[in-house]
Amino acid sequence: MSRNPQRTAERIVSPHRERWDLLFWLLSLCLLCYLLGPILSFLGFLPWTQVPAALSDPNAIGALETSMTSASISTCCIGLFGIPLAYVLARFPFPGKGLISLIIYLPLAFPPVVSGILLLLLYGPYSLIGGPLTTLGWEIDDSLAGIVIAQIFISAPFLIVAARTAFESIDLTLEQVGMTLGQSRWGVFWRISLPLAWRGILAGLILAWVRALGEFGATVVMAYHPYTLPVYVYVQLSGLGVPSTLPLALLSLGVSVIVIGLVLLIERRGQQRPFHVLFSRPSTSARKQ
Amino acid sequence: MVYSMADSPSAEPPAEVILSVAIQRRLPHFLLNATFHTSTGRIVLFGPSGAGKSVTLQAIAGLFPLDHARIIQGGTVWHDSEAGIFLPPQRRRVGYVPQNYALFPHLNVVQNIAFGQRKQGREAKKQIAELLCSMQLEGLEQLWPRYLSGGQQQRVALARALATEPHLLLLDEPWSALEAPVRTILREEIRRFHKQFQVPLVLVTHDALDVQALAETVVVMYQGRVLQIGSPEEIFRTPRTRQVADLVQMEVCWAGHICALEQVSARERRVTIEVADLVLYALVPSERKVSLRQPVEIGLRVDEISFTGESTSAESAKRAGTSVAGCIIRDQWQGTLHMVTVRLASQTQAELVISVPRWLHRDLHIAVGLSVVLCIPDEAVHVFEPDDTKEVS
Repeated sequence: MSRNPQRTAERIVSPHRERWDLLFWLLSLCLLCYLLGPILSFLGFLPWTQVPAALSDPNAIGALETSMTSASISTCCIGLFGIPLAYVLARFPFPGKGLISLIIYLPLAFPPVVSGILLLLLYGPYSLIGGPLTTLGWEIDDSLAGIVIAQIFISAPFLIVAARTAFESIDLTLEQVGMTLGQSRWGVFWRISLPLAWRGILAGLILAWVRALGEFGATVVMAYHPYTLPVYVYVQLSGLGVPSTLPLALLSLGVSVIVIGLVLLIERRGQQRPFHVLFSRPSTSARKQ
Repeated sequence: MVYSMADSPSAEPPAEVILSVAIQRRLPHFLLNATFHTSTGRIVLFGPSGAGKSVTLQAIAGLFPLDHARIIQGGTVWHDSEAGIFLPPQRRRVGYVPQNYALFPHLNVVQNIAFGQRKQGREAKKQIAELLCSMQLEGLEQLWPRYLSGGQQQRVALARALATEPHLLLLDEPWSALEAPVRTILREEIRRFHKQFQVPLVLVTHDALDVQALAETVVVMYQGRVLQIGSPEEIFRTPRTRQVADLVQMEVCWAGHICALEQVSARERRVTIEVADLVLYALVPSERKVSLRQPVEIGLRVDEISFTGESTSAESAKRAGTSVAGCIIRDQWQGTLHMVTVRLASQTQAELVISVPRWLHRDLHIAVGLSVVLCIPDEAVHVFEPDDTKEVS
């Protein structure tokens, strides 16, 4: 007898809950369909027989190479300078930190074309830095250097945000204990902070790389030549129309799927695991005895 | 043993101190101003949460910025703001074990222990093997910290600290996350390690049991200040002020005034104190300034108070002290002892909780409503010093 009221309560409550669940599903599905639609229709429209020929076009391969090379150089620079910057922002107290954060995150809000114009004003052929370099024979605009400069500006915030969050999430007492154990600030960074923040940093680096790879707005202003993949797609689109760009779009899609997959994989992997075991399976011996 | 309380950070510590600390730091809502010198190997910083104990510990490690400081350990000056000396935490050789143990989650047990090791090569391996053995961590070498129990984590953290051969071990609430039975075991372990490794240690706690089990010197802290320094016996038997009495759970505190003084020996005077209609006697050291009519606060050491049934009151009167009639109003059984609450038949209507062993409980036929006579001997009455440290805030 005493159980019955509980049961009826359950019966009343659970259908309600299901109805609300349904609303969540409905709204989610709307957006999911919207996001998935273009990709599916694109795969339908794609002239699959022309794909191999289009992808063996030396111009397309050259553009992809340019994109990959420049994005990789950009990402290296971003990592080299961005990781220390993120650590400084996460750990060192100093006045004006808020202002510096604002400046760092600004490129995220700028329209990329505007970023390109700002960069052109500083690095262009008649500008403060670009002028003297041009007279020395080093043209920044319309060169790989120009592409890299544009890409760093646009994609550095992605790494900085990710790395800063990763550093900030490390328990401060770990670093303090490291200091009492004789490690200098530098040693603490290398032996404690960096190994613990690796996951976040790596995800940030990959995101920065993929953002650099797809960069169009700032690049097209800074360095129209040599063509990067997005610029080449745009050129094809304006010259020959939509059908000619479809194989290139497939190429971009493939790269994106791989990269985003990597990021998700890193984020899903166990927390606080060192870099060298990031991609290995959790060892079965390391269980509670 | 040398204990002293200096008024200002510049006061000279005694000669053979192990640790001398005088630190000041003003924060927006907190003033840390702690000074203590000790010459014993087991120091316990004791006080409620928010007393500034952990911060003091961090300051000793060099991890907390200070406005004024003078920290000397075993003859080495670690920090002297006047002389412009500041030894960074890396060079102080402290073994710091924070509250959550802070084991490096990306390193396994052995890597954690070896992190700050000073020895090299074969010596280092031998040392780790010894530490694993004495900390009972064998078989866990390759585990990640997250697979360890709380007690194991603590032992790894201790081993990691000891592997640096520290000059001072700093333990911050080492078992706040653990259950009571585990704590008892770990207290014993700490005692054993202290004996084995001969490292002076500073332990932070708010648990009176830690103090009684581990301390040689207790530093009682409250609101960023040091209230009293002494052996656990001194702190718990003769808390200097009412504030300390509250912290060591001397629960019954009364206000009264002195109505008679009598020199009983070269060292002590016997004072007669009136608390409302009660007359109590207490012994105070001769050097303490007391005068007739002086208002005083007293605490009762409940464990010195005996009681008998009303019929045998004549017998109890033989003991020096005060006999007070009372009535049992509560009788609570707590495992091995009965906590008997007696309401005094005096004007104060005060209630005393006295713990009674089972056999006495049976002999006296204790029950709620029973009238009893309490005997409050001289030893049960403790006269506080006037609270000179009270600040207008």
